[in-house]
Amino acid sequence: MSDVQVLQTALAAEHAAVYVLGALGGRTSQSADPELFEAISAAFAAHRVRRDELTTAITDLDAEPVAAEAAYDVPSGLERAQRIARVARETEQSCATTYSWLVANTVDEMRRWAIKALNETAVRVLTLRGTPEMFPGAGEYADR
Amino acid sequence: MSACGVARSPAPLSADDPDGSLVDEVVARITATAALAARVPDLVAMHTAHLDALEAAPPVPGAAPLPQLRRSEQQLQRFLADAAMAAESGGLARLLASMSAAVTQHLVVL
Repeated sequence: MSDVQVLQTALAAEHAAVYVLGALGGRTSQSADPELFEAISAAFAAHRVRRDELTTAITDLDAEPVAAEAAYDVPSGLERAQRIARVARETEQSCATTYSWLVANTVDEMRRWAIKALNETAVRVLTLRGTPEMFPGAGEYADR
Repeated sequence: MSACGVARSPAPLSADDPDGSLVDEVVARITATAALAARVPDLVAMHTAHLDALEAAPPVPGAAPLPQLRRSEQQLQRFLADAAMAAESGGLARLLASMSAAVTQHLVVL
């Protein structure tokens, strides 16, 4: 897989994360659940930054960044804050898997970017009512 | 595609090993840090799991004051992130980056 293909895969994943987190933010009550609203808003903003950074990196390689799809699947049953937090947490954990894959498939500055992104998304899991993991983004090691 | 997710399999750790000395150093650093963590069972469990993933012996936990433990964990987190940068094997880099993220998480709740 070429450098461009690797980055395109990560960008496609970021597009999906931005969409889902935006949808979750729209379902979260700022007055009833201010902490969750803040956590989801922060996650949404962080992934928009990551998306834009990947877009720039791909453009710098003289390639056309993959566009976002018109819509992505958003899980149902989002009436309760607990469920919203869980979906947001699962989105971050999925991103952690993407970033760890990016670490394995890049070198130099792009690998550094992925390591930083992995660490930051791991912290966001905690802000979304998660608990520390043994291997964020590489859960198969925990199952050995 | 799920949010931020694609189907993938991990890159395997390399058997013939240009990263051998790096792994030895990582094992030594984790073992030394774990030797301060006995008062925090979750940290001991994390370090033990990390050493197991590197096929190394479990640590012998001792105890240290919390500020010293926190400093040591912060240093380990940075070391693991740097080691992930230095790894020749993509699979090892991924594992070390994941370990650095795990330490980051545990530091948040320490």
